[in-house]
Amino acid sequence: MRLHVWICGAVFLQLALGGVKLHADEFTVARYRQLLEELTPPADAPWRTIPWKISLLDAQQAAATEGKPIFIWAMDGHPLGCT
Amino acid sequence: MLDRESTFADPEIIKLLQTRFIPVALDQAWQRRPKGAEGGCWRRMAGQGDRASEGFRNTTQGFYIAAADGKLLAYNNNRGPERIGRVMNEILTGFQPPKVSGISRQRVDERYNPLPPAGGLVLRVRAKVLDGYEPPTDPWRQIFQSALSRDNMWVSSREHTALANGQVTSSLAQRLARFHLVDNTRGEAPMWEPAEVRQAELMLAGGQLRGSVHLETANGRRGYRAQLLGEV
Repeated sequence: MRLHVWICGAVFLQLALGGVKLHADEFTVARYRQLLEELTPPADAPWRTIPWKISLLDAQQAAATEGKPIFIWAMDGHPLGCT
Repeated sequence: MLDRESTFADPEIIKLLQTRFIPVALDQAWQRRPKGAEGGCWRRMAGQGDRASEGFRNTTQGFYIAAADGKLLAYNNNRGPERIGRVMNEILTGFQPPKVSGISRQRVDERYNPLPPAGGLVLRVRAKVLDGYEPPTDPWRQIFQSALSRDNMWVSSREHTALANGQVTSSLAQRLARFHLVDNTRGEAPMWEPAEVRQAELMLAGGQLRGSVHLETANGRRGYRAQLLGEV
């Protein structure tokens, strides 16, 4: 059981896509690593410093307690992780 | 993506959201549907805005400011930090917090609260425009061509176990192709229908994933072929 849990945490899939039309050459490991770096978001992105809640009821409860208005960012697809 | 790199990159708006507001981010397509308090709270707030005139059949996306008693104070679906910041400050100027209690959660509508599969994996998915376009002068287009999109892919326990044993299941390759090899760098993208996945092959050997896909609609107007490369 302990080994199984360790595998769950260790298996990590990284995948990059090379469009054939623009990069018709063989998709090399060097190109893959370059794309992976390009596709890795910065950990200190400004929007991540905002204490977003993901439940409207949690936000309503906090607003009632703290006496603040609720700011709602509502999009098609979740704005924190689907667009 | 556009909002993350514009409105929510603005220092004044970030400070206001950190200190003067309760910020919440929602997928409106899910938020307006569930029964119970969570969906009802949204329908009450959004129902006072411009987007609810068709009985919640269409999108209610946008920026909303509401009070804890459910009263809508502002709605805006126009991008731009200057405009949003101005609206936020106007609301704060006259804001009187209502004396209300928190709404109890009651029962959760499980149809709209899916949980990641037990024993599975959650993979972070990113997409980015690489090249092929003229350098834009429009600042919004500059964001579209430089920023990263974000998504998540769920891997089931069975697929996870197969990966750990050096195998890629066809279900994983098909789902990867249909729902994640899409261009969501400008918002929600159309997914691929099963018949539009003409080919999706992915093999794992020595920790390295290699494969290829051919995705194309029946009329040939949308599609591409690509090589895949990855690591486990």
